[in-house]
Amino acid sequence: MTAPCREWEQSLLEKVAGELDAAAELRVDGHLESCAACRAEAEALRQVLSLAALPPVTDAERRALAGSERAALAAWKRSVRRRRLFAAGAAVFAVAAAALLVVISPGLLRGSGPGPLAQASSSWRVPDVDADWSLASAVGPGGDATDEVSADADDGSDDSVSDDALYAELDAVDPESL
Amino acid sequence: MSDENHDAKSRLRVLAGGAADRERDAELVRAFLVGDEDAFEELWRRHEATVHAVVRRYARSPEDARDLVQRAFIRALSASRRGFPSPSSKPFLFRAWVLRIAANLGKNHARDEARWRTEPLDGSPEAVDGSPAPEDVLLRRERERLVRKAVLELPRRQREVLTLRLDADLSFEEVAEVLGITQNNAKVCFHHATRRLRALVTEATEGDGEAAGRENRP
Repeated sequence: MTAPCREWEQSLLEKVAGELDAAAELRVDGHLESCAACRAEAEALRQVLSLAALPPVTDAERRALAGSERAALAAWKRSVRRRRLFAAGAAVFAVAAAALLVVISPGLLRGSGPGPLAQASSSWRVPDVDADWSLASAVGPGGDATDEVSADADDGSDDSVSDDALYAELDAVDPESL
Repeated sequence: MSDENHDAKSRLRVLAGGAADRERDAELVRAFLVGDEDAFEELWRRHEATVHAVVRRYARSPEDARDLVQRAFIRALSASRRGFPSPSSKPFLFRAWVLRIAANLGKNHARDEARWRTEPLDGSPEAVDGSPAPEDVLLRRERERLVRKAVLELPRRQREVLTLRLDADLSFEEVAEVLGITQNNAKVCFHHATRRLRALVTEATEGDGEAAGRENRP
């Protein structure tokens, strides 16, 4: 058997699907009268769609559907009630959670104790500048309290006494003897 | 196609979309959402047959199909309640919504339950007269089973287009509207789906011919 005409393929399918307008239907019918291959193709397509189509709605299906809109409406109302209950429950929960937060938050803040900043601010005092300066002068001119402390920690000797003795020894040396 | 089937499809056509129908749907949905139960009944009457036509291919029983219809309506109305479009946005297409939801529900139902139906719910030749079907009727039923099974195994878009066209008798314009594709795209999908099924039937016919030839050989 010869193949159907390619240029008529889509039109044949639309004819079989019942989608052609009157003018297009006439054109396709005119072609089918003269083309056996396209007639066979149209018949084959019709056959395939007929096999794929479902049978008519049965009495059993009609009976099952009868009155089902009432059941659907009842199901809708139930779902609306559930949604409202859920929304109300969520609102109550949110209010309760907010109230609980308000009640317990001061306790939480107290219970957690002061943070590092609070501790630092509570232990801070106005510095006694005069006392600090007197401490610095006690070290002596050119001295450093830190150096002195570290030196003491090293050997416990008195640097000021050692220096005086050294200077005395130097003074005692006769320059001519050098 | 039988006269009864043709009449049923003609009734579906009457309810097909149009600007006035869409506006009426929108009015009914708005009315129902503020408590008018009569509006629900009218919406149901307007679309029940088409929604049922879309889901019955996937249903195992009449009750299955009924449940799918109910769920499709409830979901479509819930979606309407959540996001009723403003007048400035795209037109409100309840019919397209409910049919698309029905198609998805049907497909998911069949997938989840692994029970895609390959035989008619009722009305088979045996059921009509109680006597064994003649050989050609049996052959036809076998072909129907084969092709309907193949329909469910088509690529998703092809299956959707074919079933909306065949089962719900939607025009390609309406199919395109429901699926959110162009009319040309719908036609192309229909074309591919039909070609694929036709190839399957041709193959089956040739297989039957070869088997018959072998049997007749001495």
